[in-house]
Amino acid sequence: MIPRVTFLESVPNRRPWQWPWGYVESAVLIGAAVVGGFIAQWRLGPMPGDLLAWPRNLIALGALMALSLLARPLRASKFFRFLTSVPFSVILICAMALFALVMGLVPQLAPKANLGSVLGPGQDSPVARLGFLQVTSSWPFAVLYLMTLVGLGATVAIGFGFRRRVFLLNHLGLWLILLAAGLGASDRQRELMRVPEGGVEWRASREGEFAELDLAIRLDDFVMEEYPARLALVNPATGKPWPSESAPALFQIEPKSPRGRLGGFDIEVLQFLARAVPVGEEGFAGAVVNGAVQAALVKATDRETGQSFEGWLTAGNGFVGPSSLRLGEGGADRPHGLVLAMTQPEPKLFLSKVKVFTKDGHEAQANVSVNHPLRAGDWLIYQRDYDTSAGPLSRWSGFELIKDRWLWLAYAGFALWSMGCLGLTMGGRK
Amino acid sequence: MSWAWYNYLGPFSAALWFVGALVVILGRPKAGQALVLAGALVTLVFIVGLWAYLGRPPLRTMGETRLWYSFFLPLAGVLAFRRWPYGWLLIFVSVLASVFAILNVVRPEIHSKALMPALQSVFFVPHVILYMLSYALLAATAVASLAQMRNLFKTGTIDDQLYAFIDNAVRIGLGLIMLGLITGAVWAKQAWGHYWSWDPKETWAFVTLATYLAYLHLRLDRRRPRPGLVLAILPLGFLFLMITWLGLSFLPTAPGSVHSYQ
Repeated sequence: MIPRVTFLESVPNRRPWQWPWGYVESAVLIGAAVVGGFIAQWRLGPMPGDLLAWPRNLIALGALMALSLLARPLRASKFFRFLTSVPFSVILICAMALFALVMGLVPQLAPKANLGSVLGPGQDSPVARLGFLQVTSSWPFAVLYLMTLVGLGATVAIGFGFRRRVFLLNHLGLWLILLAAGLGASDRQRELMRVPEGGVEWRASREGEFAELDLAIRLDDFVMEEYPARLALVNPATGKPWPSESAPALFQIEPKSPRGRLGGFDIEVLQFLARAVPVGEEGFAGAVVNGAVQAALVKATDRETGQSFEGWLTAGNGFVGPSSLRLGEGGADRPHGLVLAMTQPEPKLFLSKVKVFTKDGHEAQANVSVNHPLRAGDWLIYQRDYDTSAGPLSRWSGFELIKDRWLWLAYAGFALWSMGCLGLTMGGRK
Repeated sequence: MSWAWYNYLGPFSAALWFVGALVVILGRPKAGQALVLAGALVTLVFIVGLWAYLGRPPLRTMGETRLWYSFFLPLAGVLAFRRWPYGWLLIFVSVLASVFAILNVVRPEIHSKALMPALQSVFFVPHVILYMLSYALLAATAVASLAQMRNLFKTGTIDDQLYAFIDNAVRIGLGLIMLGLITGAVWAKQAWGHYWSWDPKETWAFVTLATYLAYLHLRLDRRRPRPGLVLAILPLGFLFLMITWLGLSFLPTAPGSVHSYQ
């Protein structure tokens, strides 16, 4: 049977600000705190990057833990009952979502970027002054973050116990992650380093300047593999992809299946060479040497006229010029005809063979590639970039070095939270 | 099995879903379920074939993730139907799965074989599959909440069994969406150096997550505040979810995203 809805109110005819506080009171209080944050933002500018630098973040952590622990014996008090109530959490979640919506709609600047130098004369626009361009380092966001940490911490402390383990794992896990991410932000160090092949580098580059680090990287070799390139049709009158730049017609070269269609043409890849050098007038031959290019001998047949065209294609590199194939004089829909060309191949793997030396005497020899960072002391070394114009011939490799002493706390949080999520997924409620 | 096969298998599975939904309407729920499952099975066969053909999991392009969606959606629909026998549930998943199958046939994306280095990770498959699974479930909750709102506004009554379905599906969907987020975060630490960077995709995922969290918490309020308003959160959450998944490239913040893969 479908019962009629009853609207339960724990206190009938409750007046505003009469206990227990609900959604309106939560919204007013959180709104007031956020307005305070905006005033601070307007007057003080963005939060200083080192606001929570060591050991201030440790003190903050201690204070947050103490406040949370206090919540347990004082759980019957009005303050903590309100702080851990559903209305307060819901309004907090909604406020966070609103700030994230701003971030999702207004392109954000890097959190530590200097507004004046990035924006130039327009930096005094109200949008910028209220922190909407760098939300995560703005005061109102920090105020919300702090309230979330306090509320979540108290909620965890009060609800602690085995019987409510799914609740506990979810809330405690999230709390630890938020603690690690927020309090650790000032301590997190990120450096960029570019090391020449065969050379050693110990200085990080910071916007044109160099800073000495406590570790050095020697680049023994930079290795790169590429996928087979794609074939594209180009309008010779404009030099742009056909039929349009946003949706170009492309044919993936695939040695396993050499035949296919592209635009109005039947394509057959007669020969594909992953590493080749030009030979004679218009030919290519396989050769594993520096400066080799991908090349393919391709036959294209116009499906309307039956006319065939055949020739060697390559996208070229610094040593070998590009080579394309003219496909007839064209018809009414494409008066200039079309040209068949090869695109620049995409990277399959790029990897640096390095040796790392730290000041305290540690040495490590390893390969660093995307998804496989190297740990050296407190540092994690990431493969970042290379000379894309040279591709496999790049003479240098770019690394990103990251130090995050609070990472273990975040990982502990992720571990707990994921168990909580499993609990949510498994345990249905009647 | 290349994409050319899908020109036949796609419409075939869509036809199975369509007939399955029709059979359910005609009062043969068992046969209907079997047909809907058969459609999912056809899709699965193609996914496995495409996987073998590409030599990598087909999870990278929009077209490929649509495949998984049209596989999981009917599956989730049938599972939910066995527990909560609402006919519209099966009809809804059938229609939506068919839409995605047809989209893949008439709007084939550029299916490049290249899998860029950042995507070559053990987290890749679980990350995307968890999200596809949760998207399928949360889509069903959006429609169920509309049905519940209709009950509420037309007759002033509420179907408790339907509420049980909605709340359970939200809990399971939210659990899965958060697991997707966690695998993504741990992966991001490996690939990009930090577990959370407020990348546009991450930001919208957060908005989506917060919206469903708000619903979950509001339902815990014993005072039952404004049921119509609370139910309206679910379609809104699904809208955010769609922006996160499909709509991101149309937003001004998209060019900065490291999540844009062709």
